[in-house]
Amino acid sequence: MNDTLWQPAFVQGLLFITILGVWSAGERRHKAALYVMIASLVTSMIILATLIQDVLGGKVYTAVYNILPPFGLSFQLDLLSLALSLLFLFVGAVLVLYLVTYPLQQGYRRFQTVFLLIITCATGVVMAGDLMSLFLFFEVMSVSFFILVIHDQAQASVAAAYKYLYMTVGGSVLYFMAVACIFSLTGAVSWSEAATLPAGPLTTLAFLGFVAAFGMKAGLFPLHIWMSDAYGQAPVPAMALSSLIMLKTGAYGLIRVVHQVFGIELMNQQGWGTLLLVLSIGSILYGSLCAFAEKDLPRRLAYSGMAQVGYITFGLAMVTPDALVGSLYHIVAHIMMKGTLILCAGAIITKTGKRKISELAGIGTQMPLTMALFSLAALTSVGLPPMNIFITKWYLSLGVLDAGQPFLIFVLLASSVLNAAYYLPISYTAFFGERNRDLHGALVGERLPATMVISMLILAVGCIAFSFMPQNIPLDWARTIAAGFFQ
Amino acid sequence: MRNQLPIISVLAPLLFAVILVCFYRGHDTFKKIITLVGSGISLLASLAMIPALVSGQTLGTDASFMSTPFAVVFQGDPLSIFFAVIFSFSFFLAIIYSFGYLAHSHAHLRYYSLMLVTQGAIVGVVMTASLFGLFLFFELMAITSYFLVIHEEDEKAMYAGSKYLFMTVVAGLGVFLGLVITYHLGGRLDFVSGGYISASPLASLALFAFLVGFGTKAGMFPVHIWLPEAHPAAPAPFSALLSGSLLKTGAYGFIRLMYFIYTPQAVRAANFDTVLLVLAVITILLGSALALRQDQLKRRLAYSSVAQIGYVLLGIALYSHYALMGALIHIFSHALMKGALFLCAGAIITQTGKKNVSEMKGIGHQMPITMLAFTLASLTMVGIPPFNAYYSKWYLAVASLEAGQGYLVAVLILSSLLNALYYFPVVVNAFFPERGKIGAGKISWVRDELPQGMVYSTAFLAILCVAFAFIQPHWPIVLAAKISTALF
Repeated sequence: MNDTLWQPAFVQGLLFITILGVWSAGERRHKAALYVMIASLVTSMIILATLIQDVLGGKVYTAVYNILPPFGLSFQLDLLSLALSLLFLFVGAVLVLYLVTYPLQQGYRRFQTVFLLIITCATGVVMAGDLMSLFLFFEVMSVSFFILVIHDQAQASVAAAYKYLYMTVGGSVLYFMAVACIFSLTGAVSWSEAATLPAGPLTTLAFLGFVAAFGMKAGLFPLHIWMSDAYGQAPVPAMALSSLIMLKTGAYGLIRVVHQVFGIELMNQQGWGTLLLVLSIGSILYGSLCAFAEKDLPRRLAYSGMAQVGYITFGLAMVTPDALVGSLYHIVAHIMMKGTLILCAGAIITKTGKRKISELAGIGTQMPLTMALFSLAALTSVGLPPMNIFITKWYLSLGVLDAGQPFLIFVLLASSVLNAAYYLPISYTAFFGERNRDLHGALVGERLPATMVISMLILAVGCIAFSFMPQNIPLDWARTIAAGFFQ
Repeated sequence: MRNQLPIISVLAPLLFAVILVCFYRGHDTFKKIITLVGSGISLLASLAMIPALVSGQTLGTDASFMSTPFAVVFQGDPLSIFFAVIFSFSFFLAIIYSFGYLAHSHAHLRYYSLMLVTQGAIVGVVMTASLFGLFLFFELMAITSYFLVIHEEDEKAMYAGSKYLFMTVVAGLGVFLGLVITYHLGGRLDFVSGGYISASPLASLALFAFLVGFGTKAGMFPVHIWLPEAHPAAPAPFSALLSGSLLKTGAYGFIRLMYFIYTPQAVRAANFDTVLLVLAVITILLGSALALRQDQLKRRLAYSSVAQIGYVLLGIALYSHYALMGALIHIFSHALMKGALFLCAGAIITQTGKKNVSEMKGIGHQMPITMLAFTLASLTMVGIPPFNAYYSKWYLAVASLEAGQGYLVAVLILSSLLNALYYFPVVVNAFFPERGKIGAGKISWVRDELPQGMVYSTAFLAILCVAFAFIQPHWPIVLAAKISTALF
């Protein structure tokens, strides 16, 4: 049941026109440009949202345009693509709202243009209908992030940007190789429902290429090494953009490739799940431990993000339906949780200039709302019910049990303990303690710009709200998607 | 209407906490009224459910909340109601006591709103119809109680608080692990009398995961180590609740687990009951022995709680009619007596500022009512008839003999003896100090210089330690027997 539709191309077109508009609006009118960006992102969301009903009914939309030989630019919208593109547009709008009052010091126009370009391309990545179209969007997105990392043009940020750039190029080359392998084996580069790839060295090579390319983007151990430097140097909104959206495109790519290029049978037969599993466990444990050791708040968040993305690949590697539900749900859960943490960190850095965790003691009295939201997100990350990550962990654990390897749950538990160990002290030293007690009387509103507060609030509410609704929509969708992959 | 009572008892305190936070503008009376009403509604709702407990009904509706991915359903079966009455009653009295105790303290809004939330959470732990609801409220309670433990915010409290928080997080993860395995095995998490999960290696793993989770909450050896830190650090009314109520949620978890989720075969196949029994015995002896060595009164009481929770676990682990009865009665009597003792300790600190037992010579003349209450509660602790704890020890002893494990009686007797050794000196010193030690001159009797709410709530708890013996029938025994009979 395939129908050709105009929506995906229209959304891409609209966003690209907005990008041009933002660029030509110039440096002085950058604030107005931001509101136009939000309007355009929201419009795109509404346009895509009209398709929800049909896509939920099992329809898959495709559209092919003859503009990029030899394969053409193709889009495909199934539930996974639609859900993620809606999510990216939504989070993109929230981040742009945050950007309105974020002081970048210089280069507003450049930063904003690239910001929107990355959101657009991330949407393109998840809507792409074949490996080549995905490659196009993926590349534009990856390379342009370079500009955000180098934004401050300090020595350290230039170094971080180079590191990022070289690794990205390395990833692209491997991706290219992998697609070539796939093409030579099957003569097609599109998603397939039934996996037809034969086992063999070329297939293995292709799998490794994809894991390297997407894993690099997702910060999968041991390809994470660009992350902490880039995050430490990039302005906070750029870090949020990368952590919330770009990381997820890597995870999305892996999910797509595992299920719609190689297929479950091949995964099980070749034992690639184990490879992915080992890398994920490496990510989770190494990332958590590094985060624990890190003294700088943005860098701690970076390492923690690495651990969290490990959950997604962990669930993918189990190759059971429940575990995949956990992975998919974690995409939403992590966006809400980490988004809150990063935006709060950004608010703290903007307001007080403090980046070191040791300097944050007592900050709760200066910025009570920010730190309250930070604490909520910190508790979410530990996996307490009814917050999102509890649901992730629940499904991942069920998946692990289905796969007959109960002891792998201890990886998740260890990660939870470490999460508690590196987030909760920030929260309670911010509010409590003898020297803060005298400050309680002086508790004041923190006078953050309204746009920052709203964007933080939206994400923080997202950490907990889904559980209180009669239907947990992300969870239902994740179940539907996973059921589709495991028919 | 009766079927709405479980949900009212849980949500009323939570709702009033929200009202308090939203509308509190520093008015003392407003704060007191809102807190009392919120807590009182929950207490009344729990009391109103007692007829259902007597007739063995289950109250509640099928209305479900949340999608996490499990719905939370509020239902009260006899066991739930038994616990809910004890918990909400303890909270109500502790809140009255707090008005006096915290009058000169800071952060009132935080304290009272969190007391209400904690009350809602702890009643929620027992009033939900599945293990998942239990877990949900369990975690809520854990987080809010952290803020109450660190209320003083001095260095000791912060240290105790961190220790408590991290152990609680680990306990929560233990319960999580058990929960997920249980669901994997059974595909459900509700309570069915007799249990529905049979023996398997995974079931054993789940049981021991729960052992860590519920054991930590209950203050069982060797995961009791947070307890002696947290109790002295917390404000006295909350220490009373920690010991009298919060520890009992761990025991409640064990009861649900062993009698309603896992079949006795599964529990025995995992040797879970034996392990629990051994740990209970160690907990009793170690707690009593360590309590003997403490000079700080609240620390002594904290270790004594460790010992007392051992009795409860012992009763649960023995798996028989009388043992469970003993455990339930002991939960009831310990909530009263340890509540009274902690409130006394708080009263002493408030009036005289003295924390150590060695400084308390002759204190009975300064605060006679408080120290009389302390005396009553101490007598209960030792298990002298007709005080409440005598009955629990009696049933536990009977059950031990029935199970053919006579040495357990020796453990109980030894522990009672130790109780006497560390409580009676306090009492004796308070009323009959050695002459010359507190200066020459006549000893004059004065009244307790404390807010009336503090004195009366303490005295009330202490009187209840013995009053039930003079009411026929002895209600706690009747109710515990009903619950226990339904299970065996």
